[in-house]
Amino acid sequence: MQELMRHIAHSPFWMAFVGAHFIVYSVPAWAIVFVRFAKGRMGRGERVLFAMLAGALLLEAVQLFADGFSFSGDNTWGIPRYFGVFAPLLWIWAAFALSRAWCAGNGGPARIAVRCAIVVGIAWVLVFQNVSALRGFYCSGARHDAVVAARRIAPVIQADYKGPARQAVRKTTLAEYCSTRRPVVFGDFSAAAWMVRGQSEGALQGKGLCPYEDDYLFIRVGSGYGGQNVIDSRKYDYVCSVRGGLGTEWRLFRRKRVLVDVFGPRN
Amino acid sequence: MPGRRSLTAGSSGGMKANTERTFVAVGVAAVGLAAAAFAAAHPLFATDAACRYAPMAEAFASADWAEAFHPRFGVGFSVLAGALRMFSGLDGYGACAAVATFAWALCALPVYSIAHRLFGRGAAWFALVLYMVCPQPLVWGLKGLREPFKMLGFLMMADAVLDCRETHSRRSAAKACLALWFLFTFKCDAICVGVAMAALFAVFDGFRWNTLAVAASGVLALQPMCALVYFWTGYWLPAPHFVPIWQRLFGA
Repeated sequence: MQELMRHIAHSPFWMAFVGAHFIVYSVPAWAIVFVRFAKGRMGRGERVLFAMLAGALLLEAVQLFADGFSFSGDNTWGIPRYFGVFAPLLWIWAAFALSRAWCAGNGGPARIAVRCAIVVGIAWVLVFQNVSALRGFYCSGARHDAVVAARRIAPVIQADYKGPARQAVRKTTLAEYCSTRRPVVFGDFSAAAWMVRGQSEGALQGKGLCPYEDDYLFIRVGSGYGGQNVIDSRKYDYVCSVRGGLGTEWRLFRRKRVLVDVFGPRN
Repeated sequence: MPGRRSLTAGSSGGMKANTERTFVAVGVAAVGLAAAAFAAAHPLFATDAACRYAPMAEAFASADWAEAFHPRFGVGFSVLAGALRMFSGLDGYGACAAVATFAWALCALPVYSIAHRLFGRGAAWFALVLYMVCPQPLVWGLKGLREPFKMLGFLMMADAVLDCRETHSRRSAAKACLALWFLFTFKCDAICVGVAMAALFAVFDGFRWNTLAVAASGVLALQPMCALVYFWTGYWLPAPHFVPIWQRLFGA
């Protein structure tokens, strides 16, 4: 058992898998499932529920594996979204345990203490877990910094963009959705493109899915975007800088265009 | 809070069961509407929604069908978010976040129903609360991702299977029919899960009329995706991932 726990703790996949089910709920829920299985207390309905949960997780894993998804290394980013959607079924056992604990004892201080602990625990999840999950987006953190910078740069791009004809003739591919009528903005914040109603495939660069090159590069200074700390001045013109929500400097570069290719995709 | 008996035995407690279910449904819908309004105004920006779903919703709203749909990303999300974009004046990203967040809230109903069915009223209320306060699925909604719809379909189908096992009712078939639309039209990787759960439903139903209705609904729900994949690849299959498998089995 200790060996198994050690393996899980050192495996990026298993850590992401456990995290996908929201660890605060899933660890007690799995424990309750195992205990009820071991003691033979699982009703038939519970067994059906568990079969659906386990079957869905297994089917998801098989599909991802067949689709070439790697379950190790840096590819664990997708695991919470692929496997976490089944988690609410698991949490039902945690809810069952809470309902039993709520009614445990015959009254008196013990019951009051248990109920207080349950209320405090739920309040802790409601306040602190949600705050920690959302604070980085709305108040502080890198994502907030990027959103503010992107909002500030959007009018600059909208005023600058003329619209290369090559975008109008390039076709999107089966591997990836691409719009044909938008400026392409790569950089450290993919969603920045949305601020200018643009197209960004920044997250997909280098994976063979993005069929065209960028019109603009929007990067956080010092981030080393794309493994390069210095932007190639033969390819890009510096346009301007803005500050992000945390005061970080972001720079906008425009790709130099010698010819506008109206005959087909450049790549 | 209800007393011990009502918490563990699943009895009706203070309120009658139907009244309580109505109260839960109205409450969840109200929370969903409020959360969707917040999400539309303050979405969290994620790459998938910014690069795909939001432009697709805007394309749908402007009747640009070629850009509104892509076989990798289903048809359901473009239609719902695009329709909201068309009729509400929200931008594409706001529409995606709003519909996804509303779907997040709706997931609480099958969670409540399943827990009530298996463990009684107390566990159902705790399941509802645990789900609603958990940040993980809420963040998917605020980001405008498709996961809440896949989750809604899965939970509804699980509820339908358990309902069918107990009652063989038409209500369970109606739940399953609706759940299959969510599973088949929003995410390609949910299709296999949906088919497997529909098969489980059929086993518990004993392959009777409810099974026929669910199968018909499922086949119908697959057709929009099949048409889209056919347009792109020439194969009448529900997802592009199945094309290489088909070619390997039956040749090009």
